Amino acid sequence: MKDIVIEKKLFIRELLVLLALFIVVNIVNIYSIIKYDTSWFELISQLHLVLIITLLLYLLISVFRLFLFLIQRAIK
Amino acid sequence: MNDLFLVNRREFIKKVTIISGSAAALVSMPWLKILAEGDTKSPSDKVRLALIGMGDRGKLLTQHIESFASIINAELVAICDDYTPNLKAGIELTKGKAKTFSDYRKLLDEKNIDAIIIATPLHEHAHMTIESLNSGRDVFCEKAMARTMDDTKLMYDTHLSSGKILQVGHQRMFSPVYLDAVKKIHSGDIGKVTQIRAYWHRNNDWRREVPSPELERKINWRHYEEYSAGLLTELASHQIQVANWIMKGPPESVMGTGSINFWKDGREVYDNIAMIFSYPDGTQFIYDSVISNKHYGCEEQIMGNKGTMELEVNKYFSETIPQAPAILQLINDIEKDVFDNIPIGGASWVPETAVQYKGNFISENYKMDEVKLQLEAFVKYIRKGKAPEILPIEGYNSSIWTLLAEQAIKTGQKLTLSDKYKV
Repeated sequence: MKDIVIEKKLFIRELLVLLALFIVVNIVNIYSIIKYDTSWFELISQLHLVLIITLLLYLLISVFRLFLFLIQRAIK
Repeated sequence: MNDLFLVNRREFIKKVTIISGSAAALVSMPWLKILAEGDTKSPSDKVRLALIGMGDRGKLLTQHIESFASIINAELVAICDDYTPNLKAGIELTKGKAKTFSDYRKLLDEKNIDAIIIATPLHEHAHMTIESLNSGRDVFCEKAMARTMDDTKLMYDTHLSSGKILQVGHQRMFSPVYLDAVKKIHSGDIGKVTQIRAYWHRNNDWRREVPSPELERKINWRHYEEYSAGLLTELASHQIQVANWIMKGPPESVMGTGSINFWKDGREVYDNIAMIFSYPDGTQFIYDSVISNKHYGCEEQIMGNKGTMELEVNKYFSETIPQAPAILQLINDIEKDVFDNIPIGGASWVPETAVQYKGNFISENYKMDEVKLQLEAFVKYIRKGKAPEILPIEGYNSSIWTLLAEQAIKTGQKLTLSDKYKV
């Protein structure tokens, strides 16, 4: 069986994408707390939601990136 | 013995110890305190019970007693029924240990009986209870108390004159959910109670198989006015008790209507009823019961200006709906903006449909059999020689107002209770 090797560089890049998304979703959470005038405690109590949304966004972006990759390969 | 029952009983008793420790709870629910008291295993403290009426309810009570008799230190020493198949079922349930009788008067002649449990058809409650009390026995009588208002009053008066305990089977007074709910209602959690709605809907003819025609009235006694007021005494009396408990007293007036509109099978009692009970502070208790549709089941809805409680399903709904987390609100709004239909035309008035909100639980949702708890309390009262007077009063008010509601339906008038029936 062929081993799948994930390069360290690639791994760090994906982690950075995830971290960036996590920060973006937290900023959205801060915006919505201000907009709907709810408790700042939601920054902690709704972390599970923030994580779920982060992962969903990552998944969506991954699909989009896969499409881009396939199109680029087809053009080449 | 069911382990779950033992665990729940321990939990419940712990909880009761906390509840009964509060002065407010002691005033409004004094019957609870006894449950917090320890168990006794002494043979000299064993309570000897006899059960009259081995029909469905009698069988259920027998099963309960047999299942935890050793815990509550009680014994079912005698059973009685004048219908042989029921008596045989009782012998099986008690594994032949209990002495059997077909005549309750002979049972009352027995010396080794401390208390009597009565689970016979309604019209037999009064004379059996009165004779039992007069024979020096404490009595647990299933609801409703009696078929007539005079008999109901006589039962209560005999309890007072004999000095013996009279407990009426209103098990909701021992239900953990109801106890929590009423405690919360009385401490203002739903604000001022402004309306109570209750209903009990079933879809069956309430008919039992009759082996020979001459037994029709004996077996299907719930269908005949001579023996029962049908839905009123068999179902509504429970919920009238709950409303009285919440309102801390009986209503001021009642009006109602009823008919036989579906089960036209020779029965004499209504198959659908609707009543309104008015309480002194202006609160209305709106009640209905049918046996031709079971979609809505059974419920008591207690409505206050700050919230609503639905006791049968253990639910509390605040009038101020808790806000969803901000991030969810944002997602919902975005979703609405993207997917909502563009209005072209339509109603300019939006109906005030029920608020879609799942609510919270009133009480920790553990299962605890309130029928067992009320039997345990009864045994402990017998041992103590007295029970809180609120218990027979609750039973009395529920029964008397059930029967007054029957009169209101029959006369088509709004009725108040005559002073001679007030306790």
